[in-house]
Amino acid sequence: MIFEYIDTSNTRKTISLDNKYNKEDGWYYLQTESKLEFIEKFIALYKSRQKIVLFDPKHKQLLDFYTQNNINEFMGIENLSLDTKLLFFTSGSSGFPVGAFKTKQNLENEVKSLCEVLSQRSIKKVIVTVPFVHIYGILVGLLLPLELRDITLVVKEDFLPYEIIEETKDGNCLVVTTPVFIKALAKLSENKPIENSLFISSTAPLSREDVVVFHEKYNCDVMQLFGSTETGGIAYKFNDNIIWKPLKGVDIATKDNKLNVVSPFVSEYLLTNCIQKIPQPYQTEDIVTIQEDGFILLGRSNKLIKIAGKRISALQIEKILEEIPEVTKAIVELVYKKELLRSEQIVITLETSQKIDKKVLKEKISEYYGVITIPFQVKYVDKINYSSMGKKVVFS
Amino acid sequence: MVKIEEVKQKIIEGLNLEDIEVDEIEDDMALFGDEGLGLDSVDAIELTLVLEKEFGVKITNMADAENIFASSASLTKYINDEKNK
Repeated sequence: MIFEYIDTSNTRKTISLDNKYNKEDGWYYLQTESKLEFIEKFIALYKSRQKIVLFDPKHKQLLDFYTQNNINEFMGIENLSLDTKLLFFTSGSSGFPVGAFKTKQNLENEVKSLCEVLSQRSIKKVIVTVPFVHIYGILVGLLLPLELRDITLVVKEDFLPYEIIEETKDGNCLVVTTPVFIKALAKLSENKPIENSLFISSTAPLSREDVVVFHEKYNCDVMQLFGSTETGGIAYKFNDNIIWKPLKGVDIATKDNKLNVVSPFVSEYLLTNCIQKIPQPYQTEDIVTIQEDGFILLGRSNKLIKIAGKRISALQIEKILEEIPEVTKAIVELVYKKELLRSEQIVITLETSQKIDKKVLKEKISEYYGVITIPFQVKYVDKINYSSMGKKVVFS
Repeated sequence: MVKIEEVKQKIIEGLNLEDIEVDEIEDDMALFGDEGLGLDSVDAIELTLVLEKEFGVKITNMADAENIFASSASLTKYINDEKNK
């Protein structure tokens, strides 16, 4: 694999990934400010079989917490398999990010399964627009290209849509990205075909309409990957297909209409205030109906907001906001605005004794979840009451 | 000649900044980063689409974008320079 990094002045550099690291006992806390530094360090650590904890640089409180509370001292840590190599963080509904341990076997199995899906494609270049700190970035943006071997990996801190067009002009590319880029490219005035290439997108909402426009405009396929930090990849679908097909090795079923998964990619243990074993079948919060050899996703069973790998409970955000002295009651909802690139937005409805600066609200949420990049809108109402079912309702 | 107020209005509309008024964006206020308007990399992508759709100008690389998107004043200057080419 050749690694090309495009720096902020647009200079392309070929970077050697031959750095060595002498494995140490315990966990290496990896937090970097740039993708270049991340890849250089991660590859050296991973090859040395070092155990690594991946910290989002936007979430300083998380690193502080685990600096003060050594992971090796958590109850149950001795139960982890010797093959456990990575710890990713998500945000649980409990109010503080939950860690998901992954073994080398978890990761290698999933990469092999993804390679099978891509086996009929001739990929010469992998372009990654996503950060590497989440499981999607590591698996699809880094471990998959390493497995594909005879390719060039192209990384840049931030791409603009026309830079993706330029980068893919020779065809045979795999673009590891998010719905933001697919929607943005679908809106550009450009319409040159992107030959023999594939865009892989994470599971944030991507409308059928955007996928159809993108596919027709560029004659290029889109593959969406469905899963979570805890489960790893579960299923995939191409273009406007509505049926999610499980990745090889993943067995699916339903219980109370919720998707149940038995998979070699699911974390065996989670890190909360102790080390917890995850039973399989793993029950997700996704409401599905099984069809043919896959499933149709109907929705989520509770008010969970998932952005960039973080899963946050709307109810928990409401409780946090109600800690602000001026806030009497809060309702937090996720709305979908398909005309925007970042189509998920939080709408916060407040009953307060006085108007509150938006920055104060953002800082309060950040105390618990780190920097929240999802945009939010604030509405003030005279009264929020509870319905007979115990649900909050607005009286304007 | 595109006026700076028009550019600010399109930023607000295009990025759905519903709680910000045109006169709250100072001409030299930083558009990105923690100070100023606080836009981020996804907003940068959205802004390139707004510029193409509303003013017919393209921004093709991030290195140029960093200077062009510095403030609404620099953005307006870029739009007018491109239109006069």
